Amino acid sequence: MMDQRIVYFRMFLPTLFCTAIVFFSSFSPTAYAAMKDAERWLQSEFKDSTLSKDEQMKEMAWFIEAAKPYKGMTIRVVSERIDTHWYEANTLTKAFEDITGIKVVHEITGEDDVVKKISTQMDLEYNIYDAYINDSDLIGTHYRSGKVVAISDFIKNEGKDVTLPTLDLDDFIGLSFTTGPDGKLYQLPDQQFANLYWYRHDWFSRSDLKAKFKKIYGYELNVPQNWSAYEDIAEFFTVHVKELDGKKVYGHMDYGKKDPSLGWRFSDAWLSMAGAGDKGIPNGLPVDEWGIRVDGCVPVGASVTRGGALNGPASVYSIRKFVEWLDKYAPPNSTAMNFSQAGALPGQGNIAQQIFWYTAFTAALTDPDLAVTNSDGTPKWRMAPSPRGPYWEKGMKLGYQDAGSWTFLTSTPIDRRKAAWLYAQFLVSKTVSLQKMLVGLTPIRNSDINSKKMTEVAHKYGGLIEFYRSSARVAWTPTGTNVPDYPSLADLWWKNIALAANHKLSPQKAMDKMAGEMDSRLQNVADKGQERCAPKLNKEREAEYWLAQPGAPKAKLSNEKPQGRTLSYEDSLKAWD
Amino acid sequence: MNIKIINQKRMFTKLMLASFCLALTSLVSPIIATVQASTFNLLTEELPPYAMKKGGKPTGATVEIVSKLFERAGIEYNVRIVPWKRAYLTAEEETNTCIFPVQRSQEREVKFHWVSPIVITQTGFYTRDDFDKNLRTLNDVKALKIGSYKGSAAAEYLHGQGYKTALITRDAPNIQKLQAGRIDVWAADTLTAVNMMKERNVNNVNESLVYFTTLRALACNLKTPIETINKLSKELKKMYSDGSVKGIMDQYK
Repeated sequence: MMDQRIVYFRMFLPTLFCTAIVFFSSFSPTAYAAMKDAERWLQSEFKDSTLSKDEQMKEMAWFIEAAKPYKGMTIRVVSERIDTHWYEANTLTKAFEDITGIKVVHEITGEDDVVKKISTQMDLEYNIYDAYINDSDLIGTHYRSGKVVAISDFIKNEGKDVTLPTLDLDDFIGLSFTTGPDGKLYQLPDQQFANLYWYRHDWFSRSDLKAKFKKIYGYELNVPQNWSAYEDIAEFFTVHVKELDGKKVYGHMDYGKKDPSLGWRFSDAWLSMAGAGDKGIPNGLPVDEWGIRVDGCVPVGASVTRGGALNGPASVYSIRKFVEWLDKYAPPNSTAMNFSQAGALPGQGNIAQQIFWYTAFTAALTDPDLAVTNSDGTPKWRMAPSPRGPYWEKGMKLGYQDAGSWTFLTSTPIDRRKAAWLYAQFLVSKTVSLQKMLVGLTPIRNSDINSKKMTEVAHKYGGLIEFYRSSARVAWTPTGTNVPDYPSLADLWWKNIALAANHKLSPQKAMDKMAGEMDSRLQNVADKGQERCAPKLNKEREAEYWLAQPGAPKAKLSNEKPQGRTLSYEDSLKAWD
Repeated sequence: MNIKIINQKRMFTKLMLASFCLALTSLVSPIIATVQASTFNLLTEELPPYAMKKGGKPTGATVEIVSKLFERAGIEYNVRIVPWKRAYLTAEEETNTCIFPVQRSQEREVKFHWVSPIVITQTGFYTRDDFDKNLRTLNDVKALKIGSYKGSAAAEYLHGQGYKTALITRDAPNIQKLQAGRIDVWAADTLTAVNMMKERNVNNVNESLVYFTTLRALACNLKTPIETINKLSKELKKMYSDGSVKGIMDQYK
């Protein structure tokens, strides 16, 4: 095989040589040097691409030409702290500068800081950064603010000369997340990761554990399809199995410390996993997974008495289960942990499953030194589509997908915005995107997900590629456009959920309090004013009226614990076809 | 009898007077308290050119911004320069007390009410003239010996990203350390660094890479009425849009 490759290479060498001569001879000396730099980067870094080398070189030639007016400029962008963005900040900035002559300082910080910075720039209309990679959860805010550039307009007008002809927007998997109710594209995804169900595939495959589980619960120990099965498996490992190989094991892991990170899983997808909102992809309409009802594009309330679902039976059920599982089945002290502290535990090898796990940690959990990794580096664990709560119905979103997306503000001077747009497109270009996916495992393009390269390496990533190739993927979406001002509303989650997690209020009382506060905040947002679709609260009426209407808010089910249901890993993916 | 009556009367008068005084005190004291409560203590640390003492009085870029902000909002205030730890604890515990300029973080978020940003600062790497490496990204300094000072935002950020730094208690000696080759890179606030180098006539040290931007806020005790915070935030926004903040900052660059 290897000999054959050498023969082919020798056969094509003269052709390659001639192509290169013709290609480079059409450039000026400066452009020629830039093409040599591009060639060097293609050979050293961007070897894996869905484009042929010739197509990659053509893409790079376009960047060199389009960047000419901005050569020598230094632009500044900011993003959150994950592997993909570190790769961009430390490696891709250099490639971009070598090829285009535009220097980029790509700052890395926490997502909360990114949100504060973008909010500050929007509020003050004072240019702090030339572009932001900001979670698409803010799409409702951006769309209504009038201060975010609609990319779909920009690329047809003032940004036309700096828009990559091979950008291929149709190839992106997350554009529905970044499109406003007006159909315009406000952000461009740079990286995506999901929250999935995580479990110890090796333990779930053990015949002794399978037999024991079946004897107690009457069905197979496998990937749980509903919350009943998740609960049974949690109880099974914590209460019945207790120890494996001399080590204490737990059937559940979560955290409950009063800390902003406690809010993330709830604002991301907890209520949608239970089934609290309405049907609709990417988000429920008219009621979304925050429990906010809209009339057209106008938010009208979150309380059940205003037609929302934030304190409805499904939401309260989801919080009750969160508290109950944390108390009964998670390791001691989990209630006092925050996101970072809790995140380290699955890798230590005594957690059997986790209902809510971010795939951004895939690379970190394949470290060969961890107790959850085989000696050949393949994981002992797998990820699979998450189990659904009893209120969930087909056609609803289920989980969360983080889509860190390029966002440009109207307060950034046009030349700086154009230079930043070039950098943004370089980072998502087909020349770069497959290699970036291999480093950070945060896919954005269909072509990369379905590439031959990803088929070759899929076995290393515990089901990540299989998930992104499955039909399940569409039910995993970010916060949507019902949320009119994410930064002003998000803190309510952690402040109120902490009250329930720490038994200071019952789940019902905590959610009643939160729903009331959410309505007040929506009113504040309306009072402050928004460019379009500002909230206008419904008048309050009896909860019974709204609970009797079809869809969310849904009336309490007489049985919130139906029979537990599990499927094999393979069938759990097919279940979404 | 008469004497008794007189004494009783005197006694009665004394009691009445005492009661009157007590009543008066109880009436007046809330007024005193209100007057005192409406004066804010604004605490900061010595950090030229952001905050320093000149002729015994606090001055500097952030002192001027905060002073102007409270004046424009019509709120009484006192600015005091005290050690940072004391300032931080006092602002956490005492009503009508604020500390500036503070970097907002998730850990700090719950402890204060925020008026932000009082100032937007940047941190950079500084190297000697004869330094032969081109620092293009944060990663380029990973293998180098980085100097900074304890408690600085520059050091805090680098630690957060897993970088090792040689820390000292004051920032200025880092210039000598850099010149003597005891550190390869000095990580410092850009405005402070320029100010220090100007004061010391240092001309063989250069800015190599400005790697991080920070929003710095006024953090006020949680008992501060939210109306006051909103009023200050509104006024601060006006100070950015009418160029007041830029005008003050330009004087210190």
